[in-house]
Amino acid sequence: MLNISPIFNAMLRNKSSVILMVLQVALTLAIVSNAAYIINERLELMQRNSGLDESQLFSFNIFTFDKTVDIRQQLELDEDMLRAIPGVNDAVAINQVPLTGSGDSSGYRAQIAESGAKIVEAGVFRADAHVLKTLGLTVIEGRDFTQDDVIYATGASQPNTVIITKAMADQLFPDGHAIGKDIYQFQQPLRIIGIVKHMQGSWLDSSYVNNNIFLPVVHPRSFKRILVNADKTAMDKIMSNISERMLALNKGRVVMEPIKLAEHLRDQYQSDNLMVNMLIIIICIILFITALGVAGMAIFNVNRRKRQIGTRRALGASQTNIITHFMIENFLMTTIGIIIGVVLSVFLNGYLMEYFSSSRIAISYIIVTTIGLVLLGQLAVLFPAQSAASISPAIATRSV
Amino acid sequence: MLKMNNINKIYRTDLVETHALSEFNLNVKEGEFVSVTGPSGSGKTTFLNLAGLLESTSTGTYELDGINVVGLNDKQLSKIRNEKIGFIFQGFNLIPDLNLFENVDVPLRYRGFNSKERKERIENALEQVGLAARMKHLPSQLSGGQQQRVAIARALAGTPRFLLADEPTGNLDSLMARQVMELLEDINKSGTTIVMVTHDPDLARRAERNIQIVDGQVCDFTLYQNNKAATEHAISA
Ligand SMILES: Nc1ncnc2c1ncn2[C@@H]1O[C@H](COP(=O)(O)OP(=O)(O)OP(=O)(O)O)[C@@H](O)[C@H]1O
Ligand SMILES: [Mg+2]
Repeated sequence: MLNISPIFNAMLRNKSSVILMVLQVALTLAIVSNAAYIINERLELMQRNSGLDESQLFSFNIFTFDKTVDIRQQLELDEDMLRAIPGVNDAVAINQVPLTGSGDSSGYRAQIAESGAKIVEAGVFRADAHVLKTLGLTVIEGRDFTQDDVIYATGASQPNTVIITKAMADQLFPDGHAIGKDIYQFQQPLRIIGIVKHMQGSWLDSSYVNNNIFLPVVHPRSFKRILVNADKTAMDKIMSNISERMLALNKGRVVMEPIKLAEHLRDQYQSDNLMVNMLIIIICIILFITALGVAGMAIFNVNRRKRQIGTRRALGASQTNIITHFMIENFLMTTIGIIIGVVLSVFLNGYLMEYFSSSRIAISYIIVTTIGLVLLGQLAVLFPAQSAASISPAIATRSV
Repeated sequence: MLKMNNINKIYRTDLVETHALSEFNLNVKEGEFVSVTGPSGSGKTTFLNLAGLLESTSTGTYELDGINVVGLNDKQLSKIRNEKIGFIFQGFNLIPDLNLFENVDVPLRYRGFNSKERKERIENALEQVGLAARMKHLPSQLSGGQQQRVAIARALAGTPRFLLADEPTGNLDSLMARQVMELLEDINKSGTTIVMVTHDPDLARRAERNIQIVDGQVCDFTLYQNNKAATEHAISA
């Protein structure tokens, strides 16, 4: 026998304390559901597959200040030396390293620039024929570069062949036939000879993170990046004396600290990680405060209504009836709070979408938060309700 | 109707043990109207609480309407309170957030009556105390006498066999007190057993039977008077 209507009517006659509770539940629902959704959004972002085995890769920069050094020749010597180190699988001089947050990008079209065809933005990776092997990538269609594809250029001259990621190929050629086609940055055609399945570029938050193009061109410049693929177990040892080895070959340069790709990746996601941790803490604090609020309000109500509770007991309420009374009361308040909270959630989500590039909240987050809040409320009210049930009926005659 | 034998009720606090009732014996027959008087602190409310199953006895036997109620669990006691006993309190004890209709409804909901039966009973009960027209009012909108009549309606609505009242007129002026008393007499005439604690000797006299409680025991009225006279004599001597 549920006594909802008289409890509800009594609540309506006690608006001020009810409003407080209802608002708290509503705000909790709005904040917690949105925070949980953002957490999930960020986690999904962080769990994306980079296409690379970051734990096997590290990179470092070199700056050659000795103007007498023949950089092209020196790069070849460096690469040969690096590739010969035990534990190193491959190494390559490259213009940018994926997942680091800095690099080059350009726009490419399926026809010459003047055609006005759609531009597809992509990260541009320039290196010799070792590039895919060093990155740990293989072509899923076509072929890898050979040393014949590679050109050494000081100016803007372009190679004839390119390899692109599947994502980029799909955007350039939606019909699916990219191999053997030419694409253009300017007028010169670049023939697609291979397609790799997947690789994330340098900017993890960019919309074209999966569009990447490999050009077999080496620019012998004083500032170069070197990417090394090494066995996990040998990484630290190799990294520790990489600088000495490099300087042993040529002293006319600065070799900067090698950094693992895994570390770059962590840095890239640092703000996301921070956000996730902060939101988790906020959720915990808010839920804790809400539980305290519910319990506090219930304890206050129990004390305020001692005589009423005693009277109800005298009139035939069992202890269970008293507990149920408080549970129902809490459930009703929570329910009203939830109805308002759902509306608030959607508004808050709209605001976040507009100003913080969040996406439309999944309804499941609101539902799960709702269920959680109902349970939390019932749990928080249980102890005060039990203490109400233990009030002696005699209080009805004792206190005047 | 009510049979109490050798009842003891002891309140223990950290500092003292109070023998609120000791070797208390009382029989109330079906349909009787008994008034209970006695000095303050003598144990009248304690007796009423035990009789109404609001508290349990420390020792002794208690039979209510043929049921031995010593040792029953909370649920069983609640059910007896709900079905057989009606309570009227000195402070009315109406629930301030509920209107008159809902107040009278409280015990009926615990009883589990359906809404049609509850509505009928509530309307009849409020009719009987002359407040049917004010069903939607809150207790705070009524005078003390009216509130007590609502409380009586609430006690009556479940048609209890046994009505317990602890100074039902204690908070009322004499006119209202008389009205309430008349109402109780009417109820008694229709067959309900009533036990009423009161300080008012005039009201006490109107009951069929008056018992005195002194120091937690039922006291023979004449014996009490003699004792009192003797004591007074001793003091003055
Ligand atoms: N919960 C309690 N704990 C301790 N002592 C109590 C308790 N309730 C009552 N007493 C004591 O028991 C004794 C009887 O109290 P009771 O309330 O029955 O007296 P009463 O006859 O109703 O008095 P009054 O006319 O003032 O209402 C008193 O001494 C009182 O102090
Ligand atoms: Mg008393």
